[in-house]
Amino acid sequence: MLTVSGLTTEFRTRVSGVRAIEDISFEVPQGVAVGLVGETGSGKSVTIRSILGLLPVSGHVVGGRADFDGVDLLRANRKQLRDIRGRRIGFVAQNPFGSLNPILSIEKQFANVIRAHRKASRAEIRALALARLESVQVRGPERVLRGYAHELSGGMAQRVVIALAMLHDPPLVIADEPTTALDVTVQRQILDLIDAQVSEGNRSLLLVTHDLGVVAQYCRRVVVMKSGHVVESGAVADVFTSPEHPYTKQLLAAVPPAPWSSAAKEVTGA
Amino acid sequence: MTTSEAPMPNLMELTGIRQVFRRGGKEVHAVNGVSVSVAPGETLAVIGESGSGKSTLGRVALGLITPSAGTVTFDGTVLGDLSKKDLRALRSRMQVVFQEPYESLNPRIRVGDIVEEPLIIHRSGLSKAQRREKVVAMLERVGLTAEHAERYPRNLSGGQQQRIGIARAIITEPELVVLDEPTSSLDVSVRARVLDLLRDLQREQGISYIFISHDLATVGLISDRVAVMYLGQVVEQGPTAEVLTNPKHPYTRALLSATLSTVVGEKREHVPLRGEIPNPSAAPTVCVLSGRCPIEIDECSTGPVAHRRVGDRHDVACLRVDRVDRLLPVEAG
Amino acid sequence: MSERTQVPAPRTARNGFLLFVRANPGIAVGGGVLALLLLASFFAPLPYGPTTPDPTNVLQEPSAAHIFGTDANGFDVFSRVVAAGQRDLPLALIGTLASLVIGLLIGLPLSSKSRWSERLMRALDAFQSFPLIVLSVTIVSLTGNNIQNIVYAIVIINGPRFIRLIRGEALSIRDGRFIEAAVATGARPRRIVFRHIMPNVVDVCLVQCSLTAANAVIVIAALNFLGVGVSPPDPTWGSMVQVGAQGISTGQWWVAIWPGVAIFIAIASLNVLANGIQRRVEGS
Repeated sequence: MLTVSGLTTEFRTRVSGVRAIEDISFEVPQGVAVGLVGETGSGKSVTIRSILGLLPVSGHVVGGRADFDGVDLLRANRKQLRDIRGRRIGFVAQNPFGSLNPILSIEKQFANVIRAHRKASRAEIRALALARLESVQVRGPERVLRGYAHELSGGMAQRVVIALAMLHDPPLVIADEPTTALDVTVQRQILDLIDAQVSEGNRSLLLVTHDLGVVAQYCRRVVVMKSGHVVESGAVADVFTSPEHPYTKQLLAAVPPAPWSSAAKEVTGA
Repeated sequence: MTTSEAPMPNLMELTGIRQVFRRGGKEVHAVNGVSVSVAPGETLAVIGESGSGKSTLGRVALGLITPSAGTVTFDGTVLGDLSKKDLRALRSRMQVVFQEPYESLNPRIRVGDIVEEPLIIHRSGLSKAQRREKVVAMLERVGLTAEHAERYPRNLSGGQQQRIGIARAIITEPELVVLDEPTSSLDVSVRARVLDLLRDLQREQGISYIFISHDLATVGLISDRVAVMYLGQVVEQGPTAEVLTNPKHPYTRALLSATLSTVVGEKREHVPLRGEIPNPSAAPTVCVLSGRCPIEIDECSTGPVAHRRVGDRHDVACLRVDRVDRLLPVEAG
Repeated sequence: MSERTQVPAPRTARNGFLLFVRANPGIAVGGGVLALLLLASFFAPLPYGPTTPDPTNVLQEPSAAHIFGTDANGFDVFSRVVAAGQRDLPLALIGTLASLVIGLLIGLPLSSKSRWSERLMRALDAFQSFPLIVLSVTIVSLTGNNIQNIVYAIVIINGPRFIRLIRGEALSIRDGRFIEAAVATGARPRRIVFRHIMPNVVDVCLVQCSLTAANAVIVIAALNFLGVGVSPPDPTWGSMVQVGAQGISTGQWWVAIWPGVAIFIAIASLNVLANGIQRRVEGS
């Protein structure tokens, strides 16, 4: 589905250059959820921003490929990228209020996303938007459509963002820390929602997170990054039960076990 | 972890604390009748999501804000009775570490001077050389070196910055430290080491902690007792092991079920709460969870819910305590 | 990004200077030109005495002998333009420093959220709504019409701006977590203001100082142009423009243009400097 190989990105300032990620390679197979994990500064965000062509002006991709749909995303022109983003790749960012336009009604934002890729009448847009809001369990979808982003709670706003990302039924969804900005009891709901939306359409998911628990429960494969490099990747079942790289071991050991889990029982029993 | 057998006099007692803020003409009831206490050398965890009032409670405990109602007693002294001068003097005995390590350090002051400042304020008898000696010893105690003293906060990593925050808090050997989400903004690998440091310091110096957090898993590692807050109230309180393995409030269960295990395939049933946290704009006179609770009955929204004792020092504010076990099996596997 | 591969550059003094210039072109260019102006006005060898007239050479066009020409009194315009910097520039800098000190002394204490500080700010609003340049003319004339007293004018106009800026900045710093930490440490209000807030307003003060100095150059020139604070035959840029202004319509453009160019260069370099400092502050 998505194959990234040798991706290298630099940030340049007036006086110096900094290599943020180097030789990043991984793939996201059809219908599989892949977790991209790493701590602050591991380069996981830079990786997906490089793939999506969303780097800040100082960022430059200096090498590698990212093949998707027969196109190398790193060399695609603006028009190709625009067409792929939104229609073929759905993107869910960390902060839903940064993704939604504060001065446009939610309905207008649905219209914009739909019309970016095809013609549609107002009635058509409305019907589609309502259906999609219902599928992400937004209560009172008519009211939400008329309203604006600031009237929504964090969890509701993220649901709207997910509905927008799924509008064109993209075969690949990229989510960048989609629950980090949300309250604990809402996080699970959003993860379950993304999980349901992705598996429903047999889509692929690239889930960027710092939370190993999220990867353990929601992903089939995992890519572990540290300091701009991939240190380990493979099936979650293998990597989490018998990690090979010392960093992965260290990371797994550092997470306090969920109080009810079997791991916690081992700790308190010992 | 210590389990106190003989009842010890509490180091800090918060009784009937209420805190009402005015925001744009509206009243916000951040804390709504909370009573908790901390014994010497004990760690009380205060757990809750954003808007639960847990950070406000921490500030009230430190006398950084004066509560709208209720009293804070520290070692027999009521904070509200103290003059500004006496309260300032008392601050050498109770300290704070904040969540955002970088924001809580003055960017224009060298690390050594930051750690030295409490000594300048509270230990006027010390000479400059004696203070420097203590600063270096403290830096080394929290895992840094004398060389770090000359740096500015921005030249340190997040974990190192938090170690500076801790060093500043404990250099006057306080009896109580409020830890306001001290590890939330740190990466997991750094987080574990900072928690280790906090535990070691407690063991060496017998400090009491009020550990404010939203993460049950972290709380399980460091606290003796836990108070679960929701919408400005404590809904469940008791010994940590008891509350985490045998929670009796639906909200505690929901929080627990939101914690994901890193053991592959150990995915737990999720206790669904309807909707999201409402704004605490009015003082609720009914159960705070009513409207979101999955096992709610009519009585939950008709009158206030009193705390009832369900175990050894384990209190819960829920009418449905006997039904909560059916909500979600707690045992793993 | 924790591990960075820096482009290696050996740190020598010369190298360090070049790196600074490359990273901060605004500060280098603005500060450099300003330093040149100051050095020239005090130390440059002048071809003629700036206050010694040559009655035989009146209103001469620029030539090899008088590169900027001469004025109606037979003064060499070049020598006077350079020498005028001795008065205009230090005066602008002193006025700026005085405004800064007043801004700090009043603005910092007013940053507490008390009813009194709000009232005093409203009083400041009222004061600033006066036509301050007129007030300055009156004050300079009343305190003895000499050039040093123009400092009062600069302070009257710029002091309130500093107070407002420093108070606003201090108010937002006061909300910072490290101030709360200082309070929790037991620091007294005075310590919080001077030890914790003041070092954090330095950045904005530096930017505002260069802007104020530019404004001061204009205020000095404007008052001198109006004849306030001038003691002939001492040269100042404002008074030279005034003397030369009459000649522009009759074709003696050079008498007024050159001091005008000097004013322009001084202001431009200060603005470039302010811009450079701003960028550096934002970058860090």
